[in-house]
Amino acid sequence: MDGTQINDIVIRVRGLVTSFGDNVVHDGLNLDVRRGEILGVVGGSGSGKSVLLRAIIGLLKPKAGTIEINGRDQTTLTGEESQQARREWGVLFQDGALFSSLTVAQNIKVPLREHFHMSNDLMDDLARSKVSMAGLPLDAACKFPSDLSGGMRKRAALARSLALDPKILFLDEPTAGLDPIGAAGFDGLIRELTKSLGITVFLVTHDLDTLYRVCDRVAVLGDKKLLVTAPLDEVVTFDHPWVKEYFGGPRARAAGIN
Amino acid sequence: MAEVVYHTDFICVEEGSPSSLVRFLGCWTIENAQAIDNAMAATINAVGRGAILDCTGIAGLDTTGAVLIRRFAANIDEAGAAVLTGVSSEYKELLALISSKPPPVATEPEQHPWHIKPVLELGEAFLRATASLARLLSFLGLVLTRLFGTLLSPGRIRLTPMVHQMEAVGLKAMGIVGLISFLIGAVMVNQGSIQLSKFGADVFVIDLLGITQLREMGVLLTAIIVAGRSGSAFTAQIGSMKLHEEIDAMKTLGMNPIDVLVLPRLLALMICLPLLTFYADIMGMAGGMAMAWGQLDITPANFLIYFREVISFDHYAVGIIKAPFFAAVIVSCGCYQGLRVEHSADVLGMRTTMSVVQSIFLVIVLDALFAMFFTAVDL
Repeated sequence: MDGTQINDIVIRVRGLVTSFGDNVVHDGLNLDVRRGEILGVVGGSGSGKSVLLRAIIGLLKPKAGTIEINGRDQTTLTGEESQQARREWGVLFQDGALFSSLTVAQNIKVPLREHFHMSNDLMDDLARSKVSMAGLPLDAACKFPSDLSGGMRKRAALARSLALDPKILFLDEPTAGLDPIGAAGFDGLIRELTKSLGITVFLVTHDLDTLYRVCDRVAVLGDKKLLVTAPLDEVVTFDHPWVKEYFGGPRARAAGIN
Repeated sequence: MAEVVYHTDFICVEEGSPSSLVRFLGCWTIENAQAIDNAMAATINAVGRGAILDCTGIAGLDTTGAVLIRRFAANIDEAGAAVLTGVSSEYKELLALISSKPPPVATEPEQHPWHIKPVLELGEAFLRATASLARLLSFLGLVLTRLFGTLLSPGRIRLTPMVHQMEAVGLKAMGIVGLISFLIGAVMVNQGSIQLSKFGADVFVIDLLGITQLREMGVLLTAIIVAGRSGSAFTAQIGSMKLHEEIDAMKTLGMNPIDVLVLPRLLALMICLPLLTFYADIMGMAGGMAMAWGQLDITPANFLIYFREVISFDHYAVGIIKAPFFAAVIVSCGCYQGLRVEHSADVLGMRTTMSVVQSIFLVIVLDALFAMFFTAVDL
């Protein structure tokens, strides 16, 4: 790794310890996410993928360790600064977490309204652009989340997470619960959007297809640490029983890995 | 040098022939979106008949900026033609992503004008309420059919959940029901004696307390507390089962949701509400007795002697007979609303509120009907 890349680390996690009561989830975990890359995080159920994501976005307070985003230690930020920092991120939660009392377009306008003073006309135009960027039909803009299918809800949530033009995008199991066609479409959308917008993506997933088709690098969680972080073809050859089973199984072969 | 007709931090318009040159400057990002939009609105008249849009001066661009450029170009296109030049390679993809203009569609659900809205809402609320009442009645019918069906096959009655429900709705309600009845009894004697002592008739507070508490207050208050406490719980329990498709699972397993969920609650509350009412009557009397002793110097022994003389069994019977009917109303409202939950947790909250409001309303209506009935039969 050359010098420029080391300086170009967006998220730097060092010695992270998280636990629920006596149950230690991460014990001294280190992680680097480089600018502009799509990092996929995998691991068995209960290995703490979502916990890691929640710790990084500040929804969960770690027991020890530092989390730096753009070189700033997240624990030292004042309330104002962390509010400012959060504007640079977009988060896509597992079930979308759209506000159920608002339409899709109103959901997208929520962060715009909260952080900027814009005319309603401009916000409408932006919201419609995000809706079509996320690959939704335009008549979905005035629909409520409960009227949408699971796949459309995910796209709407992606549109909302892109509302503030984030520099970093956190995705929690973006393709979970989608049919293979919908999942493939969503994979393509993530890849295309984030590459053309130059966004750094932190992606938690179970989906081998997503890893194969979308991610630049793959991080494997296990034994309360990061086992390996490397491009997929290097991870596949990594010598660890869980990694071997995960990437050596029939589903991995179906996804075209190996 | 062409004449500069308009200049801001973001847009510079130079007069030219055949079309003017518009140069975009600075950071076209979300932070400056409103300022750029304002500048665009001011510029648009100056470049009426078409323009060359020069992007070489742009220092930063995000999707918001791209949308703004597209807006600008579209606005000019209505009058003349816009040509985009000088797009650097890093922004090409971004602009391509945004380039097609989405047609203007509504982003909010349609709203009625303010003077129509209240009338419309009133009418809709009325229709909803009558429809809901009709459906509730048919649900009650369904439950009663299932209930009388159990007379033929008593094995359908599920004892374990019934006993569990009796504990939840009866035993665990004793604290709050007892406390409230005690306080109401005490307050009634306290206030009644102040008024009656003006006529030198303060001993009649015992008549007052006995009749109101036994006939009306005891059972009504108990029913209202139980409706708020257990009726809402029924809706929430059954509603969350409905949301998790547990009711559907039950049906596919050959179980009848009415038998499994509604009947145990119905029987439990029909047994417990009269018992709770009896208990509330006693606590109300105890509260009144304590207040009479403290305020009027009527000892409990004298209180009881007088009480037995003036209060007949009829008063007690009139009160307690209403309890099972109130129980049926509370259970059917609670369970019916629970079974009507669908789609989202939002609806669950709404249904829970509706169940409590509806059951308290119906309990009071039923009480009024009973009062008319008992007057007619001279009880």
